[in-house]
Amino acid sequence: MPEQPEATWFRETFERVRAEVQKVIVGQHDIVESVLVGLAANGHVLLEGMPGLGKTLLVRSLAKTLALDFNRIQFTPDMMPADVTGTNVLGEGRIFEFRKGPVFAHIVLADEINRATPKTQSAMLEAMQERSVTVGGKRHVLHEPFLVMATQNPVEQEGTYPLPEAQLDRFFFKLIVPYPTKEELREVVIRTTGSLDQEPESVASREDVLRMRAIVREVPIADSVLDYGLSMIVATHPDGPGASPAASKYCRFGSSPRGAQSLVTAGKVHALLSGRFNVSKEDLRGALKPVLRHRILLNFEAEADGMTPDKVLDQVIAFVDSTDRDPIKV
Amino acid sequence: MSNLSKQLKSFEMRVRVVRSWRGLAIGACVGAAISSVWAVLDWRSILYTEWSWMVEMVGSLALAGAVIGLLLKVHPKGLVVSIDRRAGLEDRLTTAQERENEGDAFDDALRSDAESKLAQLQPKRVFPIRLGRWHGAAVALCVLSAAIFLLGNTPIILTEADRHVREELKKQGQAIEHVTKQNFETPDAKEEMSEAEKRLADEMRKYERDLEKAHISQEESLQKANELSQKADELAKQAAQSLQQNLEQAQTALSNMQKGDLEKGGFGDMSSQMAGMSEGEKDRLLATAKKEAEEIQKKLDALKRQLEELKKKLENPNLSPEERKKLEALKKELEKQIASLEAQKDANKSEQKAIELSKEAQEVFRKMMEDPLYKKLLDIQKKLERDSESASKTGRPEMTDEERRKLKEQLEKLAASLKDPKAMKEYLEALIKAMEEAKRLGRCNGAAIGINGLPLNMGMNQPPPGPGDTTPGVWQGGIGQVYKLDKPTPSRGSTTTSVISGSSRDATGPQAYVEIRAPSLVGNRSGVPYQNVLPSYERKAESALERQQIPKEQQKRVKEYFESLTGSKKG
Repeated sequence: MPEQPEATWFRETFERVRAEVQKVIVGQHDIVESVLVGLAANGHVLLEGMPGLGKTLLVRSLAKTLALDFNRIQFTPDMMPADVTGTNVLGEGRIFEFRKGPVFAHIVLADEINRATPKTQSAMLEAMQERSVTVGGKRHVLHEPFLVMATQNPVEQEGTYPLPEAQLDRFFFKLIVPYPTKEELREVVIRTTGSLDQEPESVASREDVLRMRAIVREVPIADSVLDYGLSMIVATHPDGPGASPAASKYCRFGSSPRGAQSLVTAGKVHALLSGRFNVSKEDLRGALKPVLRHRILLNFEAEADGMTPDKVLDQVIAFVDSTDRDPIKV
Repeated sequence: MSNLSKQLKSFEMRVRVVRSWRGLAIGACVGAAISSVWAVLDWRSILYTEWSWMVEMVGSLALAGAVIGLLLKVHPKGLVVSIDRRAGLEDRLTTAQERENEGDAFDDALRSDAESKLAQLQPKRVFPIRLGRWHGAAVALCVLSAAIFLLGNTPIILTEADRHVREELKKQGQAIEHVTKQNFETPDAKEEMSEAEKRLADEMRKYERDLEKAHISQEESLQKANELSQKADELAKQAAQSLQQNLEQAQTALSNMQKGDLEKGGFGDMSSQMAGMSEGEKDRLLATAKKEAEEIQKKLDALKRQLEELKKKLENPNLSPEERKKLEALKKELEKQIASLEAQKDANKSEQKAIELSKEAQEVFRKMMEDPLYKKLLDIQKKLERDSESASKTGRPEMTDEERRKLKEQLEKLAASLKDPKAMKEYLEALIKAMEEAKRLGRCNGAAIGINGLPLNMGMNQPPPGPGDTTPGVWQGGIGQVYKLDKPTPSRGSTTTSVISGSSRDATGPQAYVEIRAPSLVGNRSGVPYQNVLPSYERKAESALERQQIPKEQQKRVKEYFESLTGSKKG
């Protein structure tokens, strides 16, 4: 296989970071990879899973590995936006000074984001989208790289404020964190109850992250592949001309254009990780669920039929694949 | 051309080959489907087909499909997408081809990656030749069409009687084929047939095929034969009328232009003797001829007077036998001289007439005779005479003086109208057309006679023919053939085939002959009542009489025969 220095460096750096994180996180390989993909693609990640599955550990380890600033915000209903963004306080010279909130870090863990009020959530989400916060009429730019990793608990619905669709759309990926397998659980128990306390080392820098993001943007995508990806996006629009039967039946709303952007960017990262210099349809298929599962809104019929976004997306993929035929019939 | 494009060439060729293979199957499939429909139509007697035609249909469409598949454009973009899919190259080729002329960070690596992956592939593995659905469908449809055709054309599901009927019809079909070939499939006929004749020929061919495949019953066969016979008659009548119209204008002059007629009219040597002669020379020659005529007349008058005197002397009863004998000898000598002078006088007369025909007229005829159209005309006439085999030996009567005068007038008139070469050509073409009409008449007559003379078996479900029936394989009513039985042939049934007695026409050469037979009754197994078939035969006989194909001496006999059968007398 021909070598390309940038691509090689990207792959090696990615693998190095992953390996370092995996020293701490037992199992959860896909989650770790997806989080790193989000990082390389300059996107925020929403992690959904039961408490105690290592979400916070993952983020903290990642920050350490990359030698980046890390802040954790535990969202609660009484939390105010200023608690996230920071506020102006009267300083020693009797002038207001801006005191930065926890959002001012390279990696921010927004723990149980759905427990905060919509007002606070929107302050957080503004920072995610604009990469800046506005306090007292003054705009404060956040540091790059800026990665928010939000978590939410799928079972405890009481006293929570589910994220609105528009805000969910700002997350690049939504990852479902699964339970560890028995073997993984054994390893977790051994590591955490013994004397061996493994800490990740810093194997990459902030500059490396920025460089990775720049490399990702260079990966080319063919028209036909892009068309395939867009067909999948359009197939989620229940009332659109290219809607898949599943979307028509089970979706209230389909993916936004951000979904298409995220899909292609994720595809590019996957291509580089696969050692290719182009995005393939397989890359897009692989990225579809984490990219779109929080971007499509299902209706009551889907709930009644026990459909989940992932199941609908499986049918969307099948539908688009059925229309994507070999142009040479022989 | 980039390396990638070069590498793709072999894949493109492979795609063409595989497409050709698929096109072959699609073509065969379509051909087999059409053949199946064709076979059904054949079975239902709507459209005739042959085994070989069906095979040709399938083969030709399969070939067409293969050629189309081979020639269809292979779109480069489609080709790389297809290779990516088939070889699992994860869109490497597609992207590399799109970015063939780009120079971004990954483009070089992308291209070399795609090329190296493509180099590892073999076109035959990416595009294998397989038996697909189309091939299966083609085979199934071929089997289906063959089965339908076989069921519709094999006698295995027929009863013994039906099989026999089928054989009979087949024989009749062969007979019709013979008639069609004889009249409409000769090289001349193919070139000269009119649209109506072609339609008739087509109908006859269809009839022949229907008979051969036994797609019509014997009753239908008889009806069809009658119908075709009437059509042929109709065409013959039309041809005769047309011929008459054409000949009205041209026939007289045409016959006069024949060398023999010109000779009879006294203009025989005009082309050789008179061509190139000036008016002065002609006048001088005419004066000499007249002078000679006067001298001959004088000598003749003198001899006639001598003869009169001699006759008076001979009337004297006192002459001795010796004197009488001498005078008789002298009389004979005088009569001989008078006859000789009379002959000279006639020759002189002819010479004068030839001189009297204008030089200009002579020149026109000379040119006309040298014209290729005239030669063609003569050829056609000869052919026509050969075909009809009647006109050549009848001879022409000698012309009277009045006829000669008329002929001279016609020739002068004709020459005046033919001065213009264009007019001459038109005239000759009109004559040729007339001749062709005559040939058409011959063809249509031939067809009518042929159909009328078919060995149509009128008795339904009869056993194989015995004496008294039509003899298989012998053409009873062919053109230009006469079959006469030397003695009556008793049949196994209650009828006896009688000989054709009486005398034939006086005209020399072969004659057309149509034998009209009553149905042969074998025991009491006749399927059709006698009264039902008689009118049909009577019509045939009347038709033959109308066409004057029955010798006059026989016509009365034929009429009497049918009158005796029907018990009535027609006016």
